[in-house]
Amino acid sequence: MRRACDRVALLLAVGLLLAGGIAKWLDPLGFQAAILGQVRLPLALAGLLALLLPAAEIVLGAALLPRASRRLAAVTSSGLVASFVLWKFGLLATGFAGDCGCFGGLLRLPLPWSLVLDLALLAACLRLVLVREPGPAR
Amino acid sequence: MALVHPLLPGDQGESLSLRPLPLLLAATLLLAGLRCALPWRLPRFAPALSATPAAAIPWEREPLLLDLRLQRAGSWRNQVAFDEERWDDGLRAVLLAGGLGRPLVLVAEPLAEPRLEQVALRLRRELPGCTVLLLAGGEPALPDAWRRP
Repeated sequence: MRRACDRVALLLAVGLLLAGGIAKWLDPLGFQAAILGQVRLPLALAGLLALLLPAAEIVLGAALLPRASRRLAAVTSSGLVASFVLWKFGLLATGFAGDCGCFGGLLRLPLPWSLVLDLALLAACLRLVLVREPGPAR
Repeated sequence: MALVHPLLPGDQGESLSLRPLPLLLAATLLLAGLRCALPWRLPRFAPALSATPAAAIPWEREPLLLDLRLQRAGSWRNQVAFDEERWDDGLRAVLLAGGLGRPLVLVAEPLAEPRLEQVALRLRRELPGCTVLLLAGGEPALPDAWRRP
């Protein structure tokens, strides 16, 4: 049962990180516009974020697959996704009703649904952080 | 390099290896760099952001012209100066001019400037009921009937 939970968490985390990362990576201008729609930032800084964040999500999603990097990727992903969750709660509090741009041009999600997905992703990442991998045979 | 995992229950504590970290950082930079080397807008994600020919703009629906060249605003009918640096003021001007739900036509030159696309994308997100168009050819393409006497 526990192993099944771990597998579901792994699939969920890898799937969401890769899907969101690739969708944004393909459409950096769209994501840059989404960032600018949420916060006043210089264009160049928003552009840099629009390049780096999707790349990081893709790399973290892929790094969850090999056991050697899984724990580090899970810890880093948890931090990243937790910051997204906090950011989106802040946006909700300001009454923001637009698309957060989390899935680029692939999927336009209302903010509350995007927050639900992020919470699921955060739970999956935290689960992976807590998983005990079987140690080497002694 | 390894850190003792602080979240794990039990007394053994598992190490969190930081060895893959440089590889992950390098891969992130590589992917970001690779994206820079590709065309900014891949065809599938650019359905209607290319500039629209003047003949294809629904002039009969009285579109609002958003002019990003502030010093020129006022020469045309339904023209509103739009300063993307003062976004909220620009949106307020659009709303005051009754622009909500009407086609919005961005006029500025050169049209190839990515800044315009960013403005168009952001307008689309924030005013979802409006059609946002980029006028191909800039001001010279505006119909004469729209010139203010």
